[in-house]
Amino acid sequence: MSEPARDTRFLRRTLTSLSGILIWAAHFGLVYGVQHVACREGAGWTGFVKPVIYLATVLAAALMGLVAAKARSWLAPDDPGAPDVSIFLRAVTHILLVLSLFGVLATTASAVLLPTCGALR
Amino acid sequence: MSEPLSPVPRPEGEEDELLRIWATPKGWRLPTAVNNTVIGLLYLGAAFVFFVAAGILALIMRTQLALPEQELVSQDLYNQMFTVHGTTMMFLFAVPAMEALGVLLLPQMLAARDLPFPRLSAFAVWAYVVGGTVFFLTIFIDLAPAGGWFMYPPLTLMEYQPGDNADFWLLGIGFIEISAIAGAIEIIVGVLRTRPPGMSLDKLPIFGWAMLIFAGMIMVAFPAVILATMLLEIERAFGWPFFTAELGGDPLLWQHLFWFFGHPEVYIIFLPAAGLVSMIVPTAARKPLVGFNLIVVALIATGFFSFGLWVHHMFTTGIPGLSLAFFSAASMAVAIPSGIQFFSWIATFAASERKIEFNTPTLFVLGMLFIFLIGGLTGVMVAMVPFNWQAHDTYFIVAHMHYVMIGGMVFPLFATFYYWVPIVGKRRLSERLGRWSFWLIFIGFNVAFFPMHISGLMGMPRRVWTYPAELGVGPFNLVSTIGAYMIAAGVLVFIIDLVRNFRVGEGGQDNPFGAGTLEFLPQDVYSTRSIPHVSSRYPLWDDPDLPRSVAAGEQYLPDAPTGGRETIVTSAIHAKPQYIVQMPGPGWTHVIAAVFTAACFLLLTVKIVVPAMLCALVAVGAVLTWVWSIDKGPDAGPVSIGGGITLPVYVTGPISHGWWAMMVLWVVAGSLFIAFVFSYLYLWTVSPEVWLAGREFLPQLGWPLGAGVLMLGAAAVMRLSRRALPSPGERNLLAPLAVLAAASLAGAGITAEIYGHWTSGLRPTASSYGAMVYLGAILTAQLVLAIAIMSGFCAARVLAGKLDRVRWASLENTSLLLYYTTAQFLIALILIHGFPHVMGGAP
Ligand code: HEM
Ligand SMILES: [Cu+2]
Repeated sequence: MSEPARDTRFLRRTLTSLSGILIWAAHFGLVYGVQHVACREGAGWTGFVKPVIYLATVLAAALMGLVAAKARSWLAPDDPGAPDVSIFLRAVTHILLVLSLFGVLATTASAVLLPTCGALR
Repeated sequence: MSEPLSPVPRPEGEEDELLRIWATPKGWRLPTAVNNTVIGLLYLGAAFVFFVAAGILALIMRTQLALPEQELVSQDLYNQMFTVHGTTMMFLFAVPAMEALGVLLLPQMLAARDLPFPRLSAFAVWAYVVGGTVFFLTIFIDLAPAGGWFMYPPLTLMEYQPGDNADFWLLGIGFIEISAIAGAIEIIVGVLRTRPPGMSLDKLPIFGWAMLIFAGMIMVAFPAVILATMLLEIERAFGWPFFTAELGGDPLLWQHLFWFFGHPEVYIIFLPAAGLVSMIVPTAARKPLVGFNLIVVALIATGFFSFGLWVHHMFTTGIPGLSLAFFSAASMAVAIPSGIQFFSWIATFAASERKIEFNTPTLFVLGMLFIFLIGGLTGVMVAMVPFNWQAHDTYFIVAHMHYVMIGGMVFPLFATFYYWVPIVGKRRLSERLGRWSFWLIFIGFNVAFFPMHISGLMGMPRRVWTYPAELGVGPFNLVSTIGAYMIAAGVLVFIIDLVRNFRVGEGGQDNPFGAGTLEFLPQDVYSTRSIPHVSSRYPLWDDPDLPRSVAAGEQYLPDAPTGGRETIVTSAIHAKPQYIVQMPGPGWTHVIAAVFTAACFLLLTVKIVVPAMLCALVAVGAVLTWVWSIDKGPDAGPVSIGGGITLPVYVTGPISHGWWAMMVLWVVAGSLFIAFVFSYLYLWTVSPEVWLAGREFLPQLGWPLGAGVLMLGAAAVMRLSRRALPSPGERNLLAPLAVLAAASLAGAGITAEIYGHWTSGLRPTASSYGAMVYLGAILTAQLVLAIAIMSGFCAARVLAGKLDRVRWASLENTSLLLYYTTAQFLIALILIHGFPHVMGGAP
């Protein structure tokens, strides 16, 4: 009996497919965390919030671009004769990237439009 | 008509053997059953009973509200009623009903003989049935919680809600969540690892995808509310001030934790329901689902985005405007994937080349589309901060949430009943009664809930037991009440249909609706006679001969080569056959474990501690007896499953399903820990002065260093103990000693951490800082306790000759848990001992 087939690169494939939304989550967590802490700490901190948000956004977008460019090779099929799964995962990756980019930009737009810490009235 | 994978005709008596192995226990032994169909039905049935019971409470509330200034129920009873109604609907009906459908339908859709951990799901179900029933009964003895389904402190602190009422919520619901997590583990491993050969991820039915995301969300969301209930219960019982402002706590922490769970909860309910709809629509249209990939993405995106929404329930708490805007933005982003699903369903209907038959399942689906659309629109309205401020805590919200939940979940559920009954029942439900039921519920629903939008905008607050006539909302309320009775009538018609037509068993048409997916293959107690090779998304449409071939035993695993219950485990992405899992059959142990676990929690609620501990002991004993016989070892294999494939019957390491379950458990434990870290940091931002004061109590560096070294030592010894394992068939003393030594080191490590703080004079009751520090230790200590028990178990197994170099799954699982614990403990040490130095805040 031969060794049972292993599922090669499960983690890599999963992370690649989900990368868009994972980047959104990291961006969201960072942005909200920084803003929350800075506004609690007050003076001296709040000036950093918006630059950090913009930087995070540029970084997130760049990462997303990188994944988009690399997805094909990261998701290459094990068996070139059976490309179904790879095609599917690639589609998932790209559509998720688009949706997530929208999410990231929506977050950033809030920062463009509103004061850093003021409460709404 | 492909070549048979297994030679036919099949030997005489083979099917009888399957029938014998998979037979459901009869009579008084019925509770021991573990078949997913039996357990799934019990689960679903219990959830439905809770739906009816909570619905009756709703009727009483609506009767009370029919006219202004009525006195049918007292104010306090009304408070208890909406709390129990909301809690029951959310925790005892909606989530369990969806999980039940996972247990019931997934193995059939995947043509697996059962889910990989049958007794675990049975355990979860029994725990839920017992715990849930007791929780619900508290309403009759004036012991029900009255703080609303989200139980905000300070209202729910001891000072303002004395008595055991709130504790029933905290312990009861916390416990049910643990059972939901057990179910989620089962579902994840089931979907990823028990698919039929060939069903790679791109061919997984949408319901499978939905359940995968559903379970993933439970893993991340439920730990947050479990932590929250722990905090509140500890504060109520022992006075650790997590939520008391004057000692550095913050009631808003509860809201953060609760809604970090609570918003995803709505999607946890909705996603599987959407998955069900995505199965029914293609059948109604006789067309593959339009935009399969898009729908998968929509499910994933919804799952993630829904975690970026929680603060939209807290728009009125004075949080900075920009924070609100972040959450408002995500609330809009999440609308896109829902829209995608909507358009896909409509497009699939539109693509149909035949006249759509408006049978009952289709009607309920269409009803869902209509109602959920309105709920979604009012959802976008309340996601706007300024509008939210106006509508908050009015009947507009009551209307919105019922549109979302009843449209999003109850309608699909009824569609499901009518659509899938043929696979467990002898015949279909009645179309005539089904239509009656649909129209009564559909019209009744809109009559009941649409006017609430208006009464809400007119200023009627939610959670009021009555209202003055001058408010002018009397007529709207009367109409709402009439609608509520129409819904009740519709549900009653459905129940009559059930009583008349629902008979569990085989018979009738296998595929009455002409569906394309595997659950409509011919089935018996063993699921399908053989397990098909899948090569498309709708195998029954693409290969009309498949049902015959499956039933003739031409496909994989037509027999029972190990002589017991088993199914094929395949790889997670490509679904390549990997091994045969041997599964346990009926038994009492998991039932006893469930009942006594529930009893333990309930006794703790009413502070009867010693009997509670006795129950805990019985429960642990039962669990150990149960798992003792699970690891069957490699002796029965390797076996041939047809198609020239030979598989082992025992594996360990990263391809085994046990290993996968442990990884899922890592994620659950990790989520709990992250929720803790969040809470710790959150309270620091609220009360830096308490942290500053806490710096004084930090133990000498030697304490954390020692504790960390001890824990690392534990992990190392555990790692080495594997080498000490005897060869198969032998026993030794070294391995048990090593395992127990590892557990003792871990125990010493966590003791050092706690003792260090104690001798430095830190007390958990004095400030929120102290409370958080000790809580961090508790989170590790409970893992260490589990490891200690598991280590004892492993040691005993080596001595009994049941754990050796090959057959070492128990030790593998114990080690994996210890590795996780070590990592968590080290991070906690750095946080607890390092953070106050760095960020204690300048004096
Ligand atoms: C079947 C028909 C139903 C009716 C007639 C109904 C009626 C009601 C009423 C009268 C209230 C109290 C409103 C208040 O006083 O503020 C309420 C609250 C609530 N309902 Fe329902 N309900 C129904 C179904 C459901 C379902 C299916 C769910 C969830 C899946 C649900 C979840 C809730 C929740 C979460 C609350 C809020 C409880 C609270 O304020 O703490 N209901 N419902
Ligand atoms: Cu929400």
